[in-house]
This record gives sequence, C-alpha cells and structure tokens, in this order.
Amino acid sequence: MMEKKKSAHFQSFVSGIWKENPLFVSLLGLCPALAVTKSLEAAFGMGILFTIVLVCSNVLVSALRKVIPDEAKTPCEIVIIATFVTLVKMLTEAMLPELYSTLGVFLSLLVVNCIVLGRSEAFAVKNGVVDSLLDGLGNGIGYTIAICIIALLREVLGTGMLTFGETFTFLGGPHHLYILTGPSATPVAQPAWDLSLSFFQTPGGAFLVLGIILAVLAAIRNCKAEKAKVDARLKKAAEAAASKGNPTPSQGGQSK
Amino acid sequence: MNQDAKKMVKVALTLALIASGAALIVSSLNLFTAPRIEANRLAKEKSGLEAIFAKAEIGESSNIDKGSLKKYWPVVLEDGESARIYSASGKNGYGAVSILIGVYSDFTLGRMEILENTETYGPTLQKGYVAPYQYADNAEDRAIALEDVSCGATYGAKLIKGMVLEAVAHYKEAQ
Repeated sequence: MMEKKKSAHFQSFVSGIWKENPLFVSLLGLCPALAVTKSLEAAFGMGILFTIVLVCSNVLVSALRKVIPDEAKTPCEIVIIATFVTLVKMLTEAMLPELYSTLGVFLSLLVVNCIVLGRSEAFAVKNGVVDSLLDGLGNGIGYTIAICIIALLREVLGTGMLTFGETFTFLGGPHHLYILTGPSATPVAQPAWDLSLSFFQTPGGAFLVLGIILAVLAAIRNCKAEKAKVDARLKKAAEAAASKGNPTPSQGGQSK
Repeated sequence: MNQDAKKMVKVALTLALIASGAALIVSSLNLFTAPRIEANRLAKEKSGLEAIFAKAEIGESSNIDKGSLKKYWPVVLEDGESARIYSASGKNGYGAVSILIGVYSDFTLGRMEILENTETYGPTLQKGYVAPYQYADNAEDRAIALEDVSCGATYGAKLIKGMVLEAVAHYKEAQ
C-alpha cells in the first residue's frame, strides 16, 4: 500500500517533466515560451518564477478544494493564482530588477497562463496537497527545461554566444561565452568572424526552433513505437512457433 | 432562507474571504518591497545621471510635466559649460520607454540612458537603436545615430526620437 502511494506520488512528479511535458507534449504556455527565450538567463529566471507560482497555487487550490463551493471554483482559482503572481512580481522587482525588466509584461501574464490554470483545474481540485505539490513541481521543472533548451539554441544561433551576468547581475559581468562568433570590443562593433543568424532572435526564429525540437521528439517517439511494434510481432511469432512445437530456424540448425 | 439563497451567500462569503486574504498578503508584502523598489529606481536614476555627464556637477531637479518630459536637472560640466539632463517617458502600442537624455547648451546631443523599456521588442530596440547611439562618442555621431534605425526597432526609435527632440525644443525655449 505504502509502495503504491509512493509510486503514485513519483508518477505525479515525473510525468510533467517528460511524458506529459506541458510545452513539448501538450503545447501549452507557448506565448511566454516564444517571447522570453531570447536569452538562456531570462528563460531560466522565467522558469523558476513559473515553477514557484505553479507549486504555490496548486498547493493552495488543493488545500481549499473542500471548502470552496463548486460555483466559485474558477474565480477563486484565478484570485489565488493572481495573488501568487503579484507576490512573485513584487519580490522580483525588489530583489532582481534586471530580471523583472527583461521579463516585462510576460511575468504579469502568468495569471492567465494555461498551464497554471490547467493544472489547478485538472489536477489540484481533484487531488491531495502532496500530489498537487509534486505535480506542480514536475510541470514547473518540465517547463523550465523546455524553455531553457529553446533559449539555449536561440541565443547561440541568434547571437553566436551565451551571455551570463546580464540578467542575474549578482553573477558579476556580463560574461560572454563565444561559440559562433568572435569577440568584439563593443556591442555595436563588428566581430572578426560571425556565423550567427539574427533571425533566430526574432519570433519567427523561435517558432522555427520550437518546430525543429518538436520534429526531433516526434521522430524519437515514432522510432520507439515502431521498435515496440516489431518487438511485439517477433515475440508473438516466437510464441506461436513454440506452441506448435516447431523449432526455430536456429534451433533447427542446432538439432541437425 | 431557501436553498438557493444559502448557496449564493456561501459563494459570496467564500469569494470575499479569499479576496480579502489575498489583499492582506499583497499589501503586507508591499510594505516590505515598496521602499526597496523606490531605492532601486533612485539608484538607477543616479547611475544614469552620472553616466550621461561624468564628473559634472548635477543640480536639483525641476518638474516639467509637458508632453513626454517629466523633469530636468541643470548640469555644470567640468569645463564650466552648462547643460541639462532631461527625464522623459513615452508609450506606444508595444510598451513604455523611460529615458534620460543629455543636451549641451549649444543644443547638441549628449549621451542617453534607458531607465525602463517594457516594449515587447525591447532587446531589439536596445541593439538596433539605443546601443549605436550610446556608443557614439561625439555629438555629430549621436545626431546621425538618432536618425539611423535598424529594422525591427522602428516604432521604439520613433518614440525615443520624439522625446529627444522635445527635450532639445524645451531647452531652446528656456534660453
């Protein structure tokens, strides 16, 4: 019984990260995912703030699920989510002003984010506090990983380098890691060599990167499904052969 | 009291309680964050003023509230020449931009610092318009950079250019 409960908790946590990743599988939360993925730092910051809002709202909605009447569920959920978004926004503006100005309007827009609303409506109102916490954490981590992958590709392909310390100023900096471009004296000076394509910094580039990632994931899933089909067919054939008493070709060879 | 009325009262009470709780938490946190946010704003403004005219003597600010101009600081430069730093804010369909702009007494342009840029194309504006202006090291190059806009920064550049020209016009009026 204990084992079953533990496995259910684990399932709530893990499914949001990979199997039911909100961005790569359900295609939810696309607006901030395309808008704040110009830099890896901004995407990571957004992911952390998103996870905090999702976990807190999931926990509170789940804790109050028996108190809130059915008729008032949706407005109450929105008030709870809006409260956490406001708190996170105020704290970010006070503690990390650069991250706040980088995320801009997309931080406030978390109030109407379909993942946050969806998880509280589809999961938190029906499940216990621990499961809702783990579900929020799993989905938050899954979303953070997804937007960080998009941001990593967009920043490297679009600017030719990775920049650290510009949004998280406590890292000191900015520090540049040049990958597809050479160093330049000032941000407006032309570097000695530059293989980056600024298109990847535009919304069109974001869609292209997301499309490529989705295509790769779909190809991996199709390969796995095909392999599973072939394995099942071979297993079935082997079982049929064994039940008829016919030796397999290799067994036949051995008997000779 | 009939069943429907009871239900309505319950819904109203639940919503009122949750909204009051939310208001209480947000206002409590505001007591802690508001002074810090204001301090951040002032620190950014101070570093912006110092970046525009380094080693200059910056006087007390005077409010304007005319168009996009909010206030200005009289400045005495190292060589004794006078100048002004204007603070301006404006909006377009993509967000708001607040800037500090330096103007010399001969109405040529000094450096510009962005205090806030909430445009959805903010980074494009920074790279395609503001950065070339900021890295121009003389008034002539700055005047060229004011006109020169990269694709993608057009609307933000129009907004900034309007604010800069307003600042220059205001300084001309005052003299």
